[in-house]
Amino acid sequence: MADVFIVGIGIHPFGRTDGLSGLQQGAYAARAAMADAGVAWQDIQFGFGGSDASGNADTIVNELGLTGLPFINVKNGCATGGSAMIGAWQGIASGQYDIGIALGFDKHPRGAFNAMPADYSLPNWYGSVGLMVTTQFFAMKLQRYMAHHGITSRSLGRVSEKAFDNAVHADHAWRRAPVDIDTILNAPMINDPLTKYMFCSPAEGGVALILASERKARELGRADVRIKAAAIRTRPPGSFEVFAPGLDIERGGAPTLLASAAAYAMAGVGPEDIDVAQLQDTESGAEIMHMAENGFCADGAQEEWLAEGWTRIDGKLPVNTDGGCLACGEPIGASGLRQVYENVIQLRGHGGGRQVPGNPKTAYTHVYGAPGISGVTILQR
Amino acid sequence: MIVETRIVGVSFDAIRIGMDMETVIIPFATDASGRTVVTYAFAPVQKDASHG
Repeated sequence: MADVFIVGIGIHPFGRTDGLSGLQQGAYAARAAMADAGVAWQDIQFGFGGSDASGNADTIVNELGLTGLPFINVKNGCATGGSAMIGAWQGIASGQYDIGIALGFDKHPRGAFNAMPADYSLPNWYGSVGLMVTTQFFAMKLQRYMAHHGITSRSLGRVSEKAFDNAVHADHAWRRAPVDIDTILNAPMINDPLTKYMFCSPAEGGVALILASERKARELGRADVRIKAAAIRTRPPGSFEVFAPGLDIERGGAPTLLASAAAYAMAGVGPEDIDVAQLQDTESGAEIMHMAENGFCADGAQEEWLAEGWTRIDGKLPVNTDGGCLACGEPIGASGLRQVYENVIQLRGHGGGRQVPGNPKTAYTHVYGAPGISGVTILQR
Repeated sequence: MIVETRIVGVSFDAIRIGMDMETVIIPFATDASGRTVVTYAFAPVQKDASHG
């Protein structure tokens, strides 16, 4: 397949924006991405986009113009944004199109996600007895991981502390004030071992990417950041997933292991080649587990990594440089594209106070979500 | 297969990974006809039970 470039990026700040719908936040991001690329809506040949809770993405034409372009709606849980990007990427890599848009946006009400059992092939009683509460699942999965691999609460605190420190420098982040580790560790417990500063919150926001063929990217003067890999995988046997009523006694793989391996193979690189990574941090333990699942360290080695600050901006592998989901919140449809947006910022060297030093060349994103899916992208400058 | 459900009959601070548990049936709700609805749960094994 031909190389595809990211020629424009745009974001509507994450958090809460009263008065703007999710779709309108998506349109704001799309306009910003087109301005960044130096193109107009009339130039966009096709689009893929989605939201989880804010309606059909193709109604973006009401906001941006009735050009008649083909626009395919995507609804793929936490992988919605990544799936939209894969659709747009394939449309260009196949030679069918020269330029297109990948769009993701959402606007969730306050409080935890209120997933319906029937949407996940589960009986209603499963929700009634309280087993659909996601914070509980994440805490339980983490308890098991911590017990097996010697991860301490202090490491959970370090992940959150880093997220808020990084977000101070990210205009699009929601929580932009530092929080010291003692405050994080002593905050009210939501689900043991996770305190309130260790969970991300459902939020609002929008992200758009303009993708182009090499010919078009050169014409725009933007042939700098290319997509080396994008892969999405569902769960294998023996994995331990949100909204699964039980799990196999013998542990198997995980959707992240599959997506990660596929992306590395596609890009022809390994974890040692990655200069900056955005990893799904639904809660701070998720970032820790995902450091290992994506191949960056062994299970249990995260204790040393975090104590030494190796995932901070100036560390050997900066992780979640804009504060991740912990500081940005999670508008489901936009969250995966935010990670890609942040990596383009880093590869262009536009990170300001959060810029990874040393001119990073290869950047990695990872999402994970219900009911056991994962998406990984690798970009290269 | 490992099954997930509620843990009952133990204080929060006393819960430990690896402790011996048994399946119990507990009342959970009352349906529209006033009947008690039950669910399965896990509780610590009772050391003074008849088999012990």
